[in-house]
Amino acid sequence: MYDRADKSVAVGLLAAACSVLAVALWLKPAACGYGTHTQLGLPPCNFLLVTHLPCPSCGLTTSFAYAIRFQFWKAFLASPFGLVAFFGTVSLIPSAIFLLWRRISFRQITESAHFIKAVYAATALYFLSWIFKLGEIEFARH
Amino acid sequence: MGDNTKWALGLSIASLLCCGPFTGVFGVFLAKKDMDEIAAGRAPQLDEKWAKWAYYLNIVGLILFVVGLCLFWGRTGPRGF
Repeated sequence: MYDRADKSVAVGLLAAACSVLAVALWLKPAACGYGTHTQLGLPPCNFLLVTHLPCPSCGLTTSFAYAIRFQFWKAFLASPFGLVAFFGTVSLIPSAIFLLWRRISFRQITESAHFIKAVYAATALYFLSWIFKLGEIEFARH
Repeated sequence: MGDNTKWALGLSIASLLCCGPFTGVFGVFLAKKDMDEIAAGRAPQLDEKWAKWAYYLNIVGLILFVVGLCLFWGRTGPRGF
C-alpha cells in the first residue's frame, strides 16, 4: 500500500541525491586525492593523522568532486568506490522520479533479496577500494 | 549468527575505528534486517543477542561520529560556509 511516508522517502532520496551532487560541484577537489571534505568544515581524518595511511572513506568526497567535473580517471584514482557511489547517486535521481511516478514503495526494494546482495557488494567494493588505495600509495613510494 | 549480523559486526568495528557513518548506516540496516526476521519468527536459528550487539555497536559508531564532529566544531567553529 503506497502512502505519504513512501512518497516522503522518494522525495527525500531525490533531494539528498541532488544536494550531494550540488555540494560535489561546489567543492574544489584536493590535489592530493583526499581531504576535500575539510572545505565543508568537517575535521580531517583521524585515522590518517594517526597512521599516515588513508582510511577506507578517504578520497570519497574528492572522487565525487572530480566525477561531477567528468574527470572520471582522477575520480577513480581518488577512490574507485567513490566513482561507483557517484554513478549510484546520479542514478538515484531518475530512480526516485520513477518511484514517485509509478507509486512504488522504496520498502519493496529494500526488502528484496537483491537489495541485500547489493549492500554486500557495495561493502566489499568499499574495502577493495581501500586496498587499491593502499597499494597505490605503496606503488608511489617505490 | 546470521550472515547479516556477521557483516553488521564487521561494519560496526570499521565504523568505530574510522569510517563512522559510511559503514555505520549499512551496519544498522543489516543488523535490523536480522532483528526483524527474528522478531517475526521467520529465522529462529539466528542469535538475537548478536544481532542486537551489532545493531547497537553501529549506533554507537554513529553517535561517536556526531559527538566527534560537535567537539571539533566546538573547538574550531564550523568553517567553510
